Amino acid sequence: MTGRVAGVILLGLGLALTGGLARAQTPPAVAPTRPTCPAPGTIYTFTDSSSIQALAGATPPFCRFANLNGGQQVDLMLGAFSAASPVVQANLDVLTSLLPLQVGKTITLARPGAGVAAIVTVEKYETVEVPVGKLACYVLLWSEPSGQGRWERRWWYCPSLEYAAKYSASFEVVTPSGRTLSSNPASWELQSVRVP
Amino acid sequence: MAGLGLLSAMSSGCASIFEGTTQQISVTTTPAGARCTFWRNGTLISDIAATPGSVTIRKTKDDLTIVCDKRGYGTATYVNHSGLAMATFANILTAGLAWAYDSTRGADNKYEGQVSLALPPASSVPVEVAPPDYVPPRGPATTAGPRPSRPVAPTPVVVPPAPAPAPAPGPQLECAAADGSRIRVTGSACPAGWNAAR
Repeated sequence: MTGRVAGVILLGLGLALTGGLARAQTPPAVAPTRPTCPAPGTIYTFTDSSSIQALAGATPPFCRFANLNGGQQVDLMLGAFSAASPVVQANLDVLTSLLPLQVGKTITLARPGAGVAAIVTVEKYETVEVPVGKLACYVLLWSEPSGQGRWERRWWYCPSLEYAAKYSASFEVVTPSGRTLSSNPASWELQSVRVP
Repeated sequence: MAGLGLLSAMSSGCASIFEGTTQQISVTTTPAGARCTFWRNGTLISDIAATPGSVTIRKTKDDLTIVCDKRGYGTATYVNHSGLAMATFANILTAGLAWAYDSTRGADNKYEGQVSLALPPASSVPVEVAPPDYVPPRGPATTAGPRPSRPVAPTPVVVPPAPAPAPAPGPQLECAAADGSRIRVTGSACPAGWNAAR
């Protein structure tokens, strides 16, 4: 009898453990409506040799950072979208509707006087491995048409990090013969985190 | 006929956005010594006689097409997108601040400041049929014919971004979050919401 009870307990523990691992691969049931910001003084360093330091004082959903390479300050939403960008400014309500983050959400940003500027999609939720460790992140895809081609920029925004752990940009163009050519002009990953 | 090879391009970071309505674009090729022409809206606007080199061009909302060729190699073409600076982290930071000053002068547009192209050997160049007058991707040509501008002397000097200050050494901690994330941090404690892990 005692052994049977122990078996049931072990089975329960096993199921709980399995559920826990599974949750690590799936988005949280309730994502925060307003992302929080890193503690002021937190320093993130990236593989492209850039570093930023979290500051206080931004208005949600933006977080304030200082570029330690140049000293400039910027307010970023989801570690990606600058409050100073004209496109972001013109589409603030639309961008805010991305929150809470949910895989599949798509918004269309308009450039003032110039039609569609970009389409932003919460592409997926995945665990990404970067130099600093493994992080569960939403992949934000910024798709921007350009001539016959298209820019695709991806940020891996990690709620637990309150910033993006990875970024990549690529440009694709389809030639007159239908051949797709692409380039990868920029990318970085989170290399280190310094807590104040 | 021209081989159309979009091979690689690197962002130069943020320096260019501070240059107002003009921008310097540096081009390197492998191998060096290629001639590169710069096209916009069907018009030749500048050229580099032999790479590495750079030109200073006026920034507009239109894409810039760079075509490089060298005897014995295929042609490499790069479409340099004119866009708002969202490409790199450095650009986001500096461009975001620079916009406040530059946008009133129409300087929102920028191109990748450093372009690197690899010219494929002629034998391996995929053949593409290009029109006699190459038309860049954004719309048809709007001018009667090429209007070359005076080439700028090559100045293959590219200022790299300032390196990040090296963080002072400190204790390393392994931290875990409820969502399964696990990172190493420098400091005496894990970030808020994280727990020390073994």
